[in-house]
Amino acid sequence: MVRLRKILLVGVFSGILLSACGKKDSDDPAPQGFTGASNPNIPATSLYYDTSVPSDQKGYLQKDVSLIGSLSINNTQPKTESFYKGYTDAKLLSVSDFAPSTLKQWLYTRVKVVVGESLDWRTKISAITLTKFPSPELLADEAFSAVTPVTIMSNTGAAIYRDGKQQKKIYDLQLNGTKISILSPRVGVIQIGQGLFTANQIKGSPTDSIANSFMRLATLFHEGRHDDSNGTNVAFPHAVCPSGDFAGSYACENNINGPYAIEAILMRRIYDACTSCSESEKKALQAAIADSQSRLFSSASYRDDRPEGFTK
Amino acid sequence: MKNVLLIISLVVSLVVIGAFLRRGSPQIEVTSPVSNEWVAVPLSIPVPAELTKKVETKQSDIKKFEEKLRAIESSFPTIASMRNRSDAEVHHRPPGLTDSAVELGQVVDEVKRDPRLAPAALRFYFRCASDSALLTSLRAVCLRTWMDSSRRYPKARNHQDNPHILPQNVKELAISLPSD
Repeated sequence: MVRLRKILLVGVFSGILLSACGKKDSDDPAPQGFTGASNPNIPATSLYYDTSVPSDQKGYLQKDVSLIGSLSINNTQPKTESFYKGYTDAKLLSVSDFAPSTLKQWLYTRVKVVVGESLDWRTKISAITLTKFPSPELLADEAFSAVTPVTIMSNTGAAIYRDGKQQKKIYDLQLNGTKISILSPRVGVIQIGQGLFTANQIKGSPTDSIANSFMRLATLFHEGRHDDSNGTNVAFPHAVCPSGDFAGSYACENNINGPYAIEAILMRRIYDACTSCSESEKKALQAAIADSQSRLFSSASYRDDRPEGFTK
Repeated sequence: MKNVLLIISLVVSLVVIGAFLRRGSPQIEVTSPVSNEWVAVPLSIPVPAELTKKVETKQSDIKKFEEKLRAIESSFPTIASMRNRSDAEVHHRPPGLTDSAVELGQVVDEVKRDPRLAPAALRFYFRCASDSALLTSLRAVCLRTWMDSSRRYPKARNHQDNPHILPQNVKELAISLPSD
């Protein structure tokens, strides 16, 4: 419990810390009252698993995350200019390199608490209404709706934060007797469901195979990215696809450095590390990359990824 | 005497060469598809009955393989099947995409085991890449597989399959994917 408190304290204060050390590097400044930071140095070194996470799911995720540390990742910039407007993968992820330790830190900075599907967080929150909650305007994303049932994985912390921002409320989430104030999407509360180990799984490949670990890690990085950005673009919301495969759904991306882009970039980088993968596993990984990348609008642009946060 | 021996050796050599040619495997030239069938063109050397049977078996293997490919194609997820799905269902990878990719991988494996299946597989990959009813991501994986397999089995490629006619988004996606 002491460890949980420590982790949550870091999460709660991350937004505040980020406000203090933010460095502006964008033409699109964060709205007044909301500031972010680039490459924040949050002392996160592990994930906390809530008791609602089944032990087998926890075991797989722990193995997945530790796998990052042993990966031999290709550091060559692939030819993806047509998608990413000449930005390098490192710039899009806001990392200096693709060393395993860098990627691990990227993840720990954004994913701090994992909760299970059985946890009904709506029964665990209380709210304080603020009369002067700055800039409640948001880009819509119904997929972000806090009532969306968890099938694979969702960024609950970001969803609650966005809801609070719209309602001019600050929510407190009670987890195992510890209160987490949702002062920033960077609170890093991720909810996982059984779908992460079924629908997200490669048929015929063991749950603990490297390829299946890669599939889950890609999803984890996708959700981790929902901790970032600010203003109307807070939590990198998805956009409605006007046409194409998912026309009418919030399943597209208007940011070349948003969650789908980050997922595709990560998968492409770690693909070569899957040296023992079967042809079927490789094809499944290719399909996952293609799917994420296909979600990007051709007009997608680079957006300020500094996370927002504030004090009570 | 020397001349007689020379003539005898020559005759014996010719007999041995003739026997060898009769017993050797007939070359099967696989040509462009005609009415969806692959045509085996025997050389002028007479083919023994047992070898004809073997060729027929191989033909039926290819036919079975093509039928299997058609069955796989019919199970591919379509854009239409994504309609009326909730945002949550299509937020992450769409239903059926990964399973289809796994089947593509199994086809790649089969061709590796038996390269005679390559022409049928290449046509299958290209049909998939060309099918506008299928998910864009799946079409891109099919095209990537077609590109990689065309390099691996250059003679198996049907030159009527022209990737330039494919939509730009499918081509760009396929090119950006890691190769096999």
